[in-house]
Amino acid sequence: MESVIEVNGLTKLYNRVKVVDNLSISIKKGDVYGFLGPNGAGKTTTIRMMLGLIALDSGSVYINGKNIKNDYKDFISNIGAIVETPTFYGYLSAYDNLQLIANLTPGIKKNRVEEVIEIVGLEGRERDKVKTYSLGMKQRLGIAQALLPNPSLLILDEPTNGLDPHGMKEIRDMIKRLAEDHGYTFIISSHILHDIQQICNRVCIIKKGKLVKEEYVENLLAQKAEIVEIQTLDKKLAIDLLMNSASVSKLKEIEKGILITIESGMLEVIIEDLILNHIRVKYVLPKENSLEELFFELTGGKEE
Amino acid sequence: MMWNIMQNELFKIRKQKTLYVVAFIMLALVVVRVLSLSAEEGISLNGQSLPMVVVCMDITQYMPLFIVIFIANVFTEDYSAGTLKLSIIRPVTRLELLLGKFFAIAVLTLSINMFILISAYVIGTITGGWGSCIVIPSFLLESAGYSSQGEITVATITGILMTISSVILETFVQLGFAAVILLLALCINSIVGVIGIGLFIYAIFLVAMQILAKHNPIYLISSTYDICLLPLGILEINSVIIKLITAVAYLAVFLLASCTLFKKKELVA
Repeated sequence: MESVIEVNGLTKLYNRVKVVDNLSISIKKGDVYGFLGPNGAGKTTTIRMMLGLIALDSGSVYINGKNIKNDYKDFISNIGAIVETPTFYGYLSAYDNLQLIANLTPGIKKNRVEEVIEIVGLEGRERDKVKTYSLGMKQRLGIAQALLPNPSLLILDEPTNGLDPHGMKEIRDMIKRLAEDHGYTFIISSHILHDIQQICNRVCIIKKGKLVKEEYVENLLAQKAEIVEIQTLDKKLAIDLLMNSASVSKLKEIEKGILITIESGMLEVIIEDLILNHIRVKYVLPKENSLEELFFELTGGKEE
Repeated sequence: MMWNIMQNELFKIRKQKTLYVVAFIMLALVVVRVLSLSAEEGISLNGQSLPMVVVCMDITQYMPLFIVIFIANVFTEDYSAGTLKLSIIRPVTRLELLLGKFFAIAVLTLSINMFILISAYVIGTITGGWGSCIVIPSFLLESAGYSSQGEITVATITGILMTISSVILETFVQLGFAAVILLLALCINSIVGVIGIGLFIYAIFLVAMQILAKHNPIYLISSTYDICLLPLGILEINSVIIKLITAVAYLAVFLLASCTLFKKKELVA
């Protein structure tokens, strides 16, 4: 499938420190691409470089074959974006804010502002001043401004940041709907791994500006081993036994019991071992593999 | 595209209170000028004469202060609030964006100057009648450095053309000052900082002009005195040309520096 965006060897230095280090990614048409990394990993810096907000120290970015350096106007025409918190002129209405952006977008349809207001569900409130909007409404307006030029690629930096669970779900559903019904390609950077797992089909994880992993979410989760929680009355004995078991690759003591990572299909053997050693097992709870666990494994710990 | 950027900026300015507050303050200053002339000098200027006094004294002195505020609003606030990104990520070059915004400041400055001029015609006519000719009072000539001339009268049509051309030329000179403040606004990301330092620069221009040499062309402020007096035949054309060249030089050098800086500026806000 054709690539919408090609990022090659992107590098950015601040005070001689590489905050983005030779990063290369490729995003295909229709992808909903999760861009993950701990705080300070270089996600926002990468996005700023992709949008021409800050200069590239080296590397290249192409969108639909257009280079950011040589064909900037054609390049940026293909992108809609929200960078960090969506900011607007609070003393203007949502309609006026969108109209200002439409004035800077050549070839835009006359009724496109009304169209995007309807897509994001702001109809009825579009003439209200933006300063009266909730954060959720501002996020929706942010998505509306990103959709205005009908771009090939939408870049959303932390689109659910600061929202309550209801607001998060609304934005998540909207992104899903836009991807499925309208076929938009997305890059979504987020701290909320649960969101990324639900929305994205592909992810990349970066750490200290370097690419750690780029894969389809489905493949990532499938290749993981089983995770099982064991609750027992003989916790110490169980830990001693499981630590020496060849089938257990990882063990963690938790409040209610033990969390173990085992080879797929080895659970029966583990249970049998526990019973044969007279360990009183209360519950064996299989845990669902998640992107979160993989993320912590690859980035080396909880996020800041 | 630059035209669209300028339209956007003017639309935003129209929707804010700052414009109306500035217009009101300038209007109030015209009224104060009429009252003070009447109280202190015993002068009652007619509707044709008041505008020239207002151009030479009020527009020249006070508009640069408001230019500092407008530039802080159009450039610095847009950057620090993060709204500049909305324009940058559209198919607009940084050069177009900067010049579009600067032209909006130019249109705004000219519009306010013209508004004050028309207001001065109206207020002068209400308070002193229309009169038969323009009377340029001696205090204006003296404050411009041309003493012992007494008051001078000019025919109506000539006087009106002279007054309007003075406003246009003064606007041009003010834009030279605006270019200086623009460069400052691109270097400092705080509105308070830009306004504070901008007013300090204005004060330096004023003090330098007063202390060192009133007619030295390097001081942009208050050039209008000379420009206004050109048609009266008491000033040589060379002096005006030097002042206009100075304004062009300020405009060119500081706009060029601003364009270069803005092109390389990392937008992290």
